[in-house]
Amino acid sequence: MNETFEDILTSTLEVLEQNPDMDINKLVDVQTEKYKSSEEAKATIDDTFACLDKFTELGHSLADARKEGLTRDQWLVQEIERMTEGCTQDEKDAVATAIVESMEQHVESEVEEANLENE
Amino acid sequence: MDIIKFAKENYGDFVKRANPAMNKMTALQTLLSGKELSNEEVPLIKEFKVVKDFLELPMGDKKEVVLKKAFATAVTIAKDKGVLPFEVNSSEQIASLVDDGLTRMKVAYQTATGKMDAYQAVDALVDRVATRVVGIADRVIEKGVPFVVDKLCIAMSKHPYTAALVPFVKASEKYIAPVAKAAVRAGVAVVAKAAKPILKKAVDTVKAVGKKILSWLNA
Repeated sequence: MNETFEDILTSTLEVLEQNPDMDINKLVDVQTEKYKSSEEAKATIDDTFACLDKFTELGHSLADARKEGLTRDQWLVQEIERMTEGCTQDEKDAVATAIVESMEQHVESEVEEANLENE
Repeated sequence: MDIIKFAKENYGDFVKRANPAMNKMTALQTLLSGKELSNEEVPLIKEFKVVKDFLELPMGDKKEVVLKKAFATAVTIAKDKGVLPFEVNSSEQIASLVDDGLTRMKVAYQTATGKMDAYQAVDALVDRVATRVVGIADRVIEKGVPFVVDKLCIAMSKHPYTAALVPFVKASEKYIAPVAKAAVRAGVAVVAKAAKPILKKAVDTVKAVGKKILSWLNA
């Protein structure tokens, strides 16, 4: 079998479509077995799921903070405080700087893309 | 920009890279260029209820993550088999690519269908950027990476997966029905038109927030 990415994505979505209540980990088992995936790939899937769960958890945290009347930047400060608990002031500053620089970079690249879309 | 020009400039490059799937790609390209699909091409365009449901769900709904995980599974399996038509190098990049790509598609769809206005759309995109950046920083810190700004920036940077984003979104588009697809494309145009001034303001805000955060932390 010489599958393409599209074949694999289609197959994965078909399993989900036909079994909407299937546990996502079961779906992973079915698909990794079908495509004879390596142990490294299975570990990457687990780690990627953990990352997606983290994004989801933080999305809910931000939504809850908004309901309590906090702004996005106030929520950011709270999160930086949480993740740097026990760190020195220099370490806190480094994390805050990295987060803000990264966000700035992301948002600026969105502006560039918007410029391209508008051309 | 008209749709044919858009298809040629944006989709053509992906088609070249996704050579093995050329027939299906040709069908989608037909659709993108606004032409009617032939009888042979129609079955090549997949339409999934799970994808449509994802587009319809409110932003941030708990069920969203299921589809994101399904896409992430397919991306990782394809990478393992060496057939992924774009490059991603870590769990964080795969998660960011899937989260960003599917969120963009959903925001565009919800904007075109009147579920959110352009301002809400841009705000939702910036919210997702914030949660991804904080999420990755959190994981990097948990993994014990030293507090070096450059390392954090590299881990969180959009650049490692930017090149993959366009082909990923284009590949994902074919899994939605033509009507929803048209809505997504219309939404992209609406968001893009409104985004420039709003995002410019967002950049200034983020810069101001950076100074504020540092002063709060130092207080």
